[in-house]
Amino acid sequence: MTLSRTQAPRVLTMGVARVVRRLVATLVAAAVVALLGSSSASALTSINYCGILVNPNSACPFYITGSFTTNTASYSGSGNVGVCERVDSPPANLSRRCDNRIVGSSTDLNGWYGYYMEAKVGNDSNYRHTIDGQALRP
Amino acid sequence: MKTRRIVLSLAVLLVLTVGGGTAVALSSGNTKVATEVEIKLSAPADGFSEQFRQALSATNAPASPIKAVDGLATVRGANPEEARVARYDGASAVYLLPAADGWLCISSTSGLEAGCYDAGTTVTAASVMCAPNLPPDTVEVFGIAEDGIDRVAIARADGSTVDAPVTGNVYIYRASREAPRPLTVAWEGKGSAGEISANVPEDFRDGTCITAADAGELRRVDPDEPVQVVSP
Repeated sequence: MTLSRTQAPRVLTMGVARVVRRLVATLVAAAVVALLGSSSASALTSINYCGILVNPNSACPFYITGSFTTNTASYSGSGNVGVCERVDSPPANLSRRCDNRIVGSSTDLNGWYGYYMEAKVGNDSNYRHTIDGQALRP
Repeated sequence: MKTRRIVLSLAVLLVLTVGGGTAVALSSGNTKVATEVEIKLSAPADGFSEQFRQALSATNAPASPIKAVDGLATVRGANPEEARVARYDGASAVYLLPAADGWLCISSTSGLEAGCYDAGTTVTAASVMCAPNLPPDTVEVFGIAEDGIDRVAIARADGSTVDAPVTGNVYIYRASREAPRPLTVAWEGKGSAGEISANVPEDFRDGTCITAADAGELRRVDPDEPVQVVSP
């Protein structure tokens, strides 16, 4: 097959485009592999919320929505301070627990990942304290 | 022009890839109140801290490794390979696990009894108001107790007191939600006596726990969707 003068540059352009496309595909594949690799290496992502002074026997005014595998409430100071965690998926409550200084939703959310959740934390003591919320997801 | 666009797209993709593990601020209006970070898990503990080993006779009974522990215990570096059976009622086993930095975690096959405590703990008290294996309209108070404490006394809002036996360093108290609110857990043991809050909130009866019938009403979401912060 012979190329006419008008066809030759076009084919040459297509060749360059093909090379660029292959290069792009390779780089995209490498990026995706890197992305997947980084997410599998890091087992869990933590979403930290609240972290403010919470009134006695009250829920933190800030909460988060999404889907999670664990919700934890904690108080990082010393002494006995009751803290609570709660995960709602309206109209129901999936998990509700309280403990001293740190409490997590344990295995309560097993099987519910992928459903809408409202993760909340609270202060179950008689004084104002800073309560940290931490939700985990893969 | 096209090549420049491709290069630009690649650059964005690579930035996203590299930035995947860095902190992201989640905002609600103009207020930043949450951050998303990749967490580092504590390395699993290689055994119970000396303090807990001396305090708990349950650590003398090795168990089959637990298949999975909850998120909090995982983050605290609880080691399922080092788990010890604290009690077994024929249906559910309760385990004690050593965790990083001398902490101790409790875990169970039912998923009900779970938590992590730092060294120096004599008696703990936690409450469960909603969990998959908690019977309907029930509240549970459970905890760990050192050797020499064979029962705890749970004082309730109506002035009554209920005893809960300690088996394998663990006690479990369950009552109807209609029963008086548990207020404190008191103990007397080998050279120690004390009282702590039962950690049951005043509004413990509020809320409807999930049931199998409710499952169909729950809304599915894409778990990869960004987390939203709800502010007052």
